[in-house]
Amino acid sequence: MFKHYIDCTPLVTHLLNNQLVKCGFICLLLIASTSQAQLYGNAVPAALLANTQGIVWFGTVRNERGHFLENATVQLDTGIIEHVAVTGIEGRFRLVLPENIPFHAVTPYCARPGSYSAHIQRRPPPRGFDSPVELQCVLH
Amino acid sequence: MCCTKRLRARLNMRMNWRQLNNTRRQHPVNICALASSPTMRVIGLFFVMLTPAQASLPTDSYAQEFSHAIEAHIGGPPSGWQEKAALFSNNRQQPSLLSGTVPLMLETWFNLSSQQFLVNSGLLKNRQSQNASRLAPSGQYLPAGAKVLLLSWWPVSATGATPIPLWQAQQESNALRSNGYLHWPAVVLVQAAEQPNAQASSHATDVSQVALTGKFQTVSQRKNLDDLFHIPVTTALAAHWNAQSAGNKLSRMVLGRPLQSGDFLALVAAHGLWGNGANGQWLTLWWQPDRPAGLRRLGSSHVTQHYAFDSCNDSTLPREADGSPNSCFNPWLEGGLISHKGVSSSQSNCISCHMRASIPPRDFLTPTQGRQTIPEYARGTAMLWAPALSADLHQTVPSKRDLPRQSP
Repeated sequence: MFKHYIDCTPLVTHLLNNQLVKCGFICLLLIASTSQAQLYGNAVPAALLANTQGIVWFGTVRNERGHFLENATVQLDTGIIEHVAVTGIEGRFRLVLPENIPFHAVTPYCARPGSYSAHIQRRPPPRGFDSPVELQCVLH
Repeated sequence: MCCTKRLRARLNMRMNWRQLNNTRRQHPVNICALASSPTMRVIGLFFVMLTPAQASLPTDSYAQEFSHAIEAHIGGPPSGWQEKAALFSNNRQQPSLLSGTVPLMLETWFNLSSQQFLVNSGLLKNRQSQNASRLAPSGQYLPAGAKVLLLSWWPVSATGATPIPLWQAQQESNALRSNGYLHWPAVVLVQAAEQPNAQASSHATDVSQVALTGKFQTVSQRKNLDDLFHIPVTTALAAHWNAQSAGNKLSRMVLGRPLQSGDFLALVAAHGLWGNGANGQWLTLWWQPDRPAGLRRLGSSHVTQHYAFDSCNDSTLPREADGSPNSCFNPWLEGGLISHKGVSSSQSNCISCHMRASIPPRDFLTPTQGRQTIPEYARGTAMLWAPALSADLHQTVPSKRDLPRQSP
C-alpha cells in the first residue's frame, strides 16, 4: 500500500504543477463560500457566483390560466440566507443551492407585482438523489 | 468666599472646596475679581451652557456635509467625480442573472482628490501612461479632501405605488441568519407625487398586501416619493441600469419589468468616506421613515428627517454599552451578511471591515468588529475595497511564494 503511494508521487507532482488543476482546486474552494455571496453581489467575482455544483432547483411560474409569467420572483429561503431568481421570458427559473442544504429545509416563495397569492408545489428529487428539485408556482 | 462659591456653581466644576482653597493659597489671585470680569463671565457661561447636543456638533456637521454631497449628486454628478466603473475598467465580470444573488443598485463615486490619491499610490492605472503603476506601500490613507460615496438606489414606478422594504431594529435579535431586505417583514408603499388619478387608483394604492421580491407582505405605511432623495430615470439611465445584471434583476423583482424612462430611482442607503489622513470619517445613512427611537436623524429638512444616520472614525471606540467594540452599520448594505465568530451584521463596523481591504482580497463578506489586520504577504489598498476587488492590480502583487522565507 505504502509502495503504491510512493509510485503515485510523480503523478501528484505533475498535477500540482499543472496550472489548470490549480485553478480548478481554487475554484472549488471559492465555490464552497458562495452561500455568503448575497449582498454586494455585483462586487463579488463572477467565479464565486457561477455555482454549478450543488442542488439544482428549477421550475416555472404561471398564472391561473396556465400562461407562463415573465419577471416573477422566486425566493428560496434556506433558514440562513435567501437565494432569489427572476423568471425569464418563458416563465422559467433555475437556482443552484449549496449541497449541504436538503430540499425539505428550504422554504420557497414566489410572487409578481399585480398578483395576490401563490400556490406552490414542489417535486422532490428522484429517490437516492439530492437534486434536482422542481417547483411549480401558480399565481393568482 | 461667597463670590467663589458662585463661581464654582457657575462653572459646574467637580473641584472640592479644599482644592480651591489650596489653589488660592498657592496662587494669590483674587478669584472674586476674576469672576467679576466680563471675560471670565462669558467663559463661565459657555461651560455652564455646554450641553451634549452642542458637544455633538462635529457629527452634525458631517451629517450636513454628507447630505449636501448627496444632494449634489441628485442634481447630476458634480464636476470631477467619477464612478467606479469608469475608473476600474477591468472590474470583474458581473454575476449572471441566473445566480441567486440578492441585487442592489449600487454606484461608487470618487471625487477628484480621491482619484488623484489612487493614481499616486498606484491603486489606479494612470490612463495617460497606460502603465500599471507599482503598488504603494500598504498603510496609506485617503488625504483630507478626498471623498468616496456609495449610493444604493431602489426603482420606483412613475405610476401606481411601489413597495420598499422597511428595516426594523428589533428584528435583529436573530443573528444566526441573514437579515437582508428580503427578510424584512414590513413594507412601505411609495407613490410619485404627480400621477394621473386614473392610473394611480388602478394600481396597488388601495391594497393592504403587496407582492415584493417573491413574497406577499403587509403594507405598514404609505409615503410620498418626495420623502426620499430621488432622481428621474431618463432613457439613457434606464439603458445603463438594464445593462447591469443587478439593476436589471432588481427592477424586474420590484416593478415586474425592466426600468424605463419616466420611472424614478429613490435613494434607500448610502455610505460616505471623508479622508483625513488617518482612518477617515465613515458616514452611513438609510431610509427609515418610521423614525424609531435610538436612531439619529440625518437632518431636519423634509427629506433628511426620513433618513437614519451614523458615523464613526475608529474601529473600536467609543465602545457600545455592553463593552463591545463600536458598531457602525447599514441594514441595506450589511444586513444580509451572516454572523461570523459571534459578530452579527448589526454589530459590524465600517472601518473594521475596510481595514481588511487588500490585494489579494479576502473575507469580503464577513462581518467584523474591532481592529483588523491584513496578512503579511498582502498589500493594503488604503481601506478601499474597490481597488482590492478590481482585477487591474492583481498581477502587480507578489504571491506568497515570492516572498523571502523566514527562518524558523
